[in-house]
Amino acid sequence: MRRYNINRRLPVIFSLLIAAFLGISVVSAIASLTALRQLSNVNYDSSGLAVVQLRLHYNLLLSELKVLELHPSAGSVEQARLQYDIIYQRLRSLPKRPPYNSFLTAEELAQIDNVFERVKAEAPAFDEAEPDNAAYLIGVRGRLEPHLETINVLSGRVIQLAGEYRDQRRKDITRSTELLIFSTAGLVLTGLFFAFLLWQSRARLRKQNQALEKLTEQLINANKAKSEFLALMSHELRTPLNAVIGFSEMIMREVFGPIGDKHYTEYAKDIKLSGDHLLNLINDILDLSKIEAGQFRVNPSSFSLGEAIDEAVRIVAIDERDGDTRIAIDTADDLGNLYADRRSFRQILINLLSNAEKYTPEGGQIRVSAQRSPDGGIEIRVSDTGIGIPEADIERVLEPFGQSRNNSELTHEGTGLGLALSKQLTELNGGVLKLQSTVDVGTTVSLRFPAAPGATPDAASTRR
Amino acid sequence: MIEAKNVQSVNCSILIRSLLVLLLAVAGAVPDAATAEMKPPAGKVILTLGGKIARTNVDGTARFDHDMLLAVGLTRLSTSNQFETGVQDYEGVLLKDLLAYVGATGTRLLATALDGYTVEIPVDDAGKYPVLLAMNWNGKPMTVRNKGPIWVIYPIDQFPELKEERFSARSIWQLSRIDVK
Repeated sequence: MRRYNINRRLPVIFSLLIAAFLGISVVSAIASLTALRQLSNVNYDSSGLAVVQLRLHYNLLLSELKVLELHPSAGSVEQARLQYDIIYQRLRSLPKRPPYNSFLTAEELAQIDNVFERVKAEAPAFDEAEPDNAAYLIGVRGRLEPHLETINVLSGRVIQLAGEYRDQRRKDITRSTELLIFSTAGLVLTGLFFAFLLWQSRARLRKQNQALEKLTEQLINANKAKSEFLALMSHELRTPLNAVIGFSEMIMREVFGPIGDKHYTEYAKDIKLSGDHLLNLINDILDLSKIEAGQFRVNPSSFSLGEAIDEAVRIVAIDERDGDTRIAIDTADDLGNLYADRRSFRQILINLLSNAEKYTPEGGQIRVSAQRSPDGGIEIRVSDTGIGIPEADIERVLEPFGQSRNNSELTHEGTGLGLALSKQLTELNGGVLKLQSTVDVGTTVSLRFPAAPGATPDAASTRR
Repeated sequence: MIEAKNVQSVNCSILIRSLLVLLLAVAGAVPDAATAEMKPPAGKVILTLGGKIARTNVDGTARFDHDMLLAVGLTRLSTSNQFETGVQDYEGVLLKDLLAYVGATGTRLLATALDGYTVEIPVDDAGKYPVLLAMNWNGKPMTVRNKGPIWVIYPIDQFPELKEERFSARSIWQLSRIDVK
């Protein structure tokens, strides 16, 4: 019992696990892709180059100024001003730019600002200086030289920090890529797992299909064998039975002279009745197995429905009551013809009428009615006021050997094949057989046959 | 069938011939700007173009002072870049216009700054994007102390692919010389 519960919950647990796995994989894939995209948008880091340039040009400026101080005629005010302008621009834009403003401390940024302020203070000297008069620039070197150390220290610091900054970015990219690889692997694994499940269920289904096909084939073969066996047996049984029936009748009728003791004629009569019953049974079985084997051929023709009904009623009356009938016929005069296999139609009607006779006690009534429906078809009803069939058994009595349970109590004679055979025969003729019954009230069997092919409803109703 | 073919080919050759004549006439009618004489600079030279160019003024180079460069034609460009925060307004000469003005025929440009920084710019860049030689920044002329006198500006906001590092390396400031290779 416990095992059963776990087995039942396994698919749910499995689905939840797969969903969780899938969810984690998708979320981490999105996260790593987002991180990678952000990393790829990070500003270009040329900070190392920028500080090296600053150091270089600061030194060049100091050299130019030194030359001007020592040999004013050999120096170039123009060159000094260019170097000044270059470091001015560098110092001005350094602290504003990423990544300096993100990785230098406030103190270090203040140091850069301080150096820039000192450099800026020298601008008037460079603006005033003329190419042939370097006097304005004397003393500038002394004021700027002390800051060279600060610039050197800051440059080293920036280069070091830039290295760390690049290391960090590299680590970030590596981590995001690893995450992406893992989540992709997760997605692939989930996909493979699904593919495996699908393949497995398909394989199972294919196996089941093969088993089913095999079973169906076996069943068809078994059913065919059964039908063939029944047809053969029925035929083989009928031959000796004819001898039994024929000779018992001859004895019964004392064809070759009287029999001494009357008991013998009574026994001969019993043999004849039992033989008849057996023959009916065999004939019904033969017909049913022919129908099931698809070998029963109907040969439809047009015949007078009224005459066919009269004939069937007469046969049943002779068999059951020695001509004294209680079957009432209720048909219109202009009923016209029915298009069906005449032999099987007669068989159907005799079966239904015999059943009605059998299950209707003394004093009951049996009625055959027929009428043409507006669409040109024919509806025939056989109703009795007999013992009826319980509603639960109606379906069963239409199956071969499916007599109502009621039957056994009453020990009525019957093959149990009549209704089933009638239904099959009706359907072979394109008709429909329906049974309505109420216990202790009676049974009505209705047959509905379609109009003859090619006959219009009007023509059919007037034809005789 | 054969006759029809002949007629067609004759028609064709007439058409081509007349087209050629027309083209020659048009070419002859337009004065060749690239071969016209260039005046020597009157003021301080801020940009020198050398190499494969058709128009020169001094020693096989085309030297421009501020006014000569302005005369090539001013264009405005608003964009952000990696070196400044926020969108900035720039005004200057389109690289494409300047190359046409001097009749440049090379495929590569070797750009050099006042501090010696040198970078190679493919001529294709000028054709693909409105690359600006900016001279004014937010309405003010650019000095050497503020990345002037000329700063090469790529339209990053208009073309996102220009965010790549190779383009920021080409965004040379304090530009002073271009050699057409």
